[in-house]
Amino acid sequence: MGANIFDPANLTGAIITLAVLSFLIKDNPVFDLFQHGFVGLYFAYSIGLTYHSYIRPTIVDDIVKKGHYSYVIPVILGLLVYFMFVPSMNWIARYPMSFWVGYGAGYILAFQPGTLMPQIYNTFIRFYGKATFLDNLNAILLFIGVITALAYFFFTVRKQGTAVGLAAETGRWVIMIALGAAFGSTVLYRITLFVGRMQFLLGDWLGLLK
Amino acid sequence: MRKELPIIVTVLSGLVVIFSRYFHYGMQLGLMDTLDKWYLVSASFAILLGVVNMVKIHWGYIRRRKEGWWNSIVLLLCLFGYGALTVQQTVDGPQAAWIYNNLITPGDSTMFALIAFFISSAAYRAFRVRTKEATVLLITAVIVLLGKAPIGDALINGWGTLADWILKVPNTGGFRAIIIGAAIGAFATGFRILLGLERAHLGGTGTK
Repeated sequence: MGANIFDPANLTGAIITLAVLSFLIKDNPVFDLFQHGFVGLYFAYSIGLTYHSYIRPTIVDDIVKKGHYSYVIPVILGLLVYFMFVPSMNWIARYPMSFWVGYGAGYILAFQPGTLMPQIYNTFIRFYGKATFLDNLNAILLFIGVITALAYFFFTVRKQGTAVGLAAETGRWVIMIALGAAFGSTVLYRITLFVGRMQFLLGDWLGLLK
Repeated sequence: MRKELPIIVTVLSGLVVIFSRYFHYGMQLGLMDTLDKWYLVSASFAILLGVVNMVKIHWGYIRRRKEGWWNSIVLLLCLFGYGALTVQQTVDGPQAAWIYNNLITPGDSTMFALIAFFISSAAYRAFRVRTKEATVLLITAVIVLLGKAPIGDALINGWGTLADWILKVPNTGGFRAIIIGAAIGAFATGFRILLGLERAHLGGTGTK
């Protein structure tokens, strides 16, 4: 692989990568500068994406070209939120917020069972009849893990010296193992990203990797 | 009425979603599609709220010459410059896509890669506390970390199988319980909102 040190794309990527990695030594002005620029760029990207995905199609295509005038209502609703910058009329901003919260609450009540129930079903019903003895054992262990971890979250019952207390204590260890596994996976994923950045610096940019 | 009417809006919008989902007539009316569109459009028009807030804060830093104020200039330049570019030529436009691929993407992945060092040092500090829970957490993390990489099986045959078992059984069990618990919490909050008992979203905009 040949070195492409002065290729604009590689050079920009390398400068950005080194600017971020410089934080490992200590907080420094270069990192601060990049951090602020990055926030601005990301925000600008989301504005462009939102504009072309929802704002422009709604106004130009739906309202102006197709004549769906009912879409004027959500447009006005969305714009009402800016009344929060007018102190004497900031109560008007409650209307879009109320719509969003109500929609969200309704959505949870209406659609969450569809994703949640299969998980409960698979835990509580299907812990037998698997192909091998080990599969059956794993299903039973999974069942015990879910029940005991759920018992840990019972905060309104007396736990000391009761079966719920014993289950909750077991559940605490199950949760610790689960969190440890999640932590290990996260570290691994981050290290993979780091290796990717090193491959870019040493391979794509400097051409030191074969 | 400045509080009662927004509560009515909240309850009605929530009930319309439920009606559209659980009632045959509601499904036939196709209200859910309309409401989905309304939600997405109204929320997208609110995106400039963040821009207004950000400009207010950083313009204040620049005016007061707060320490590091030049960073705020860079932020605003990137925000308005790249914002105008993406609006003018879409995010897939030649210059906009170049900036995304060569500035945002490497910066994003390096930022996430950086976290590896900080969470590792956090784990080390947690381990130094020497509680039984922290020890179990760390041992599990090491088993999974090495087991999912080629070095695990190279060190001890079967390490990868153990890591897979941990991910498949105790990890799934623990997280499934957390998800079920969180879902019950979300359900309860949803009911409270629809019954008008939860009004936190109406606060912070002034009451009369």
